[in-house]
Amino acid sequence: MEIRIENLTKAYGDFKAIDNMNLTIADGDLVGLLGPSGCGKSTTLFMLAGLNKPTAGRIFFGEHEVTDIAPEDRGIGLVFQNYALYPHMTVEDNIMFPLINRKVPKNEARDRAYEMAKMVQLEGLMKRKPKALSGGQQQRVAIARALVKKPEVLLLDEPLSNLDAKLRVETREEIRRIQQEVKITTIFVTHDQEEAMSISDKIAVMEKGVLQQYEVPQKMYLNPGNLFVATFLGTPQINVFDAEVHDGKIYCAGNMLRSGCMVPDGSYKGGIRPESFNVTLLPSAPDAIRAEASHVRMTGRELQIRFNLGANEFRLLVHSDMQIGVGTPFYLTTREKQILLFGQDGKTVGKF
Amino acid sequence: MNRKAGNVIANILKYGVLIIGALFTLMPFLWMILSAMKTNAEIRAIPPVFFPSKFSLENFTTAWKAAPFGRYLVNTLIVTVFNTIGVLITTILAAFAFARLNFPGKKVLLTLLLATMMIPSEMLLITNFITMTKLKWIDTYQAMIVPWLASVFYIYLLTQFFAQIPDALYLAAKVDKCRDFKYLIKIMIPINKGPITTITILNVISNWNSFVWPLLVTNSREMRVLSYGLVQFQTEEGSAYELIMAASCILVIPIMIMYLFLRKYIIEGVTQSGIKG
Repeated sequence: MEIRIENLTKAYGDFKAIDNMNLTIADGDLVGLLGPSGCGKSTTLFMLAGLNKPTAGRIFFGEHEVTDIAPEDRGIGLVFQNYALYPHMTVEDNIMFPLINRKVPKNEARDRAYEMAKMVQLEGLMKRKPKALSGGQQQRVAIARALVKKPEVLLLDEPLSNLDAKLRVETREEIRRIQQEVKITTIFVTHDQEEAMSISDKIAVMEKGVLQQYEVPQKMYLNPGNLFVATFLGTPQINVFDAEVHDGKIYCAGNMLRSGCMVPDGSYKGGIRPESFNVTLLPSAPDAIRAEASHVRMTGRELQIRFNLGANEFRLLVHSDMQIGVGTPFYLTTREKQILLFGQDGKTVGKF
Repeated sequence: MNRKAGNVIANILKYGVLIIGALFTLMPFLWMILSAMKTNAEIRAIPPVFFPSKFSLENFTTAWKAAPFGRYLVNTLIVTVFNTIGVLITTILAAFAFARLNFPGKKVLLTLLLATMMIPSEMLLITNFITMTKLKWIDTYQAMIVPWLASVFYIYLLTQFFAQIPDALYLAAKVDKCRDFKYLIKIMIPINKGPITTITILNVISNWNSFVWPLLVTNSREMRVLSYGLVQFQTEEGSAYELIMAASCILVIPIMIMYLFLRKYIIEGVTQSGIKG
């Protein structure tokens, strides 16, 4: 089901938790609501669920406006961060609970619960209490309980934050698989950019209650709409530096990084990702910049090198077979279309 | 000193203290049972004797026959059962309202309720007695049951437990089409079984042991409760302590049986709630 958010605002007194948000989510998409803590992503999710009342604006599920409809009548399934399983009920009773409350006959409810359990691979655990399950299993019970009433929208609040690192990767794939199998429009909240990028069809990045950008993960990573999105996505973080432009040439601390750029002269913020450098030990081109490694960290697949241009510190990643130690001089050029320029307002000016 | 020897000494100290504590707690109880088997002369002997010369159950039969204990027992049961049911209803509903619902004046109301805990219960006896007289309820069951149908202490206690249940559970239930009352019945009460059991037991015990109020509001022998039975043996000629002790044993037995059956819940409830009976 398509979800449309129109001019959504949530204010607590003078503080605007959500400020005039507009967003359309296509039917069957898996969308990650991404942002730092306190950016309003969970507030948005709870407004979609109907547990929070918007101050202004409207929410549509398909053709129907649901802004004033109670949570239980919206046709949503909601999974909480701490799963919110009923601790005194067995897995089976937990999954059946939404159906029993909707007056579904007990036998049918049980059949549907088992069907659901099969999909999330919980068979054999149906008679256990939540306490006797691992975090990942509890998570799947919560998803089964959310999906058993066949909702048209699935909402997940920080679904992976209570799991350990290895399980997190497995579970996110699991969420993707279930979502594809049920073909349900799904929105999940996360503060982990890698998590959001890896399984989402589209990502909505939020900050301070304002939607920053809504895009396909790869496009967003390569073409961030502003400085915030650029710095929020990617690890290690994008390098941000003071850039000067003269006659179409981008300089950083007197070093020319790129020529032939159609931007007005002036000061900008530059951005370049750590993986966007070409590094050689001998000068590879006449305009290659000489630098010295100040820190080197071996991470296995890559070497993470820090160096300075004037007052700007940069990180770069090279393949770990490169022989660079602290103090080793090297030469670098930047890959085409990898330098981002941001205006003083933080908006992206161009990619060079 | 090696570690093993240290552990042994630590254990000896630990258990030593525990044994002394247990003895202190058990002593009066043991004294009661032993005294119930003594003769009148033995109980008055100076210096006191610890063990009776022969263990006879005669005092028990004398005590049982001296007063209509059967009738007292029935009365006590009626008062205890109905009062406890009432207390549970008011406590659970009020605690849910204070912990979960939002209504204007909630904080003020809770503060006011808590403030009533400062009033000594002896003062309430007089006003309550006047109320009972005006209602013409003297010498009835409702006089013993109704004035104590709500307890601020239990309400406050349970409110704290209800407030600890995460909001997410409530919201999840809401999405699952489970409204407030159903949520209370199906989720809150089962989860808080421990504290609710504790409250039930505390209330049963306080009903069982209550003496002054039932004495005040009942006149006829048919309406008296068990605790009144003990006074029978205090007469102008003096107290028949051996009979009082025997009657006390009779009084305590049902509570002991209840404890044996509900031991698991009592220990759970008390350790969970950090209160003692």
